[in-house]
Amino acid sequence: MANVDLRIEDIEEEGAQEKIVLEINQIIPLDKLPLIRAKLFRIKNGEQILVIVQPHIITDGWSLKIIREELFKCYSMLFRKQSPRMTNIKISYFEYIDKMGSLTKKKKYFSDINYWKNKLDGIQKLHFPYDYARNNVETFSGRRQTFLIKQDLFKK
Amino acid sequence: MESQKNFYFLYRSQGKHAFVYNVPLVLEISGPIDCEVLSKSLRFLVERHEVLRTIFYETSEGLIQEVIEKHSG
Repeated sequence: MANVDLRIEDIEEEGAQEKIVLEINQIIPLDKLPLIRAKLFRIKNGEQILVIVQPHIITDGWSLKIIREELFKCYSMLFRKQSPRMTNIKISYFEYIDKMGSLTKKKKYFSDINYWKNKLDGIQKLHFPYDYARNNVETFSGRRQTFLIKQDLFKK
Repeated sequence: MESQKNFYFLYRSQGKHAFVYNVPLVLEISGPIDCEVLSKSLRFLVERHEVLRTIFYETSEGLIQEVIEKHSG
C-alpha cells in the first residue's frame, strides 16, 4: 500500500459538488497509512478539482499553506524533469513535539503566563446587551442572517 | 503530544462523525495536469514530512504515535 494515493475520477457537472463533499466527509482511520487522501475530480465542463483531505491531528491551517506551496514547487520541478529541491527540515517531528512539551515546564512559560495575568488583571468584562438571555446549556442551534453595514458606520 | 492527544480524544468521541475533524484542501486547477507528476509530487511530500507518515493507535500503555519509515509502504 502506497503512503499516499492519487485517485482520479471523471464526473458529470451535475452532482459534482456532492461528490466533492462526500470525498471530504470520509472518515480517515488514524491507525494505518495513508492518513492523507488525495483525489482529482475531472469535471465534464473542463474544471479540475484537486481535493486533499487530512485529519486535524496531523495538520492545521498553517500546515496546509506549506503543503500547497511545496506541492506546486515539487510539481513544477518534477514536470521539468528536475529532482525537487526543498529547504532542509531543521527539526524532526518528534524533536518538535519534545520541544513543545518541555516548553510548558520552562521558567519562561510561567513568566509569560504571569505577564498576561498581570496585563489582564482587573479587566472589565464586556456586558454586551442582548434581547434574549442565553441558556446555561448551549444548544448550537441557530440561523444565519446576512446584512450590510453602512459605509459611514463602518468607517467609525 | 498534548495537542495530538486532544485531537485523538475528539476524533474518538465523534464515532462515525469523526470526519468533522477532516481538514480539506480544495484546489481548482486550470490547464493540463500531468497526473503521474502530481502523484509523484504527493509521494515526495509524504516522504519529506514525517507527520504525513505518522499513525496513531492505543495500547495498554496509552496513545502511541508512530512514524512509518520511508519506502516501507
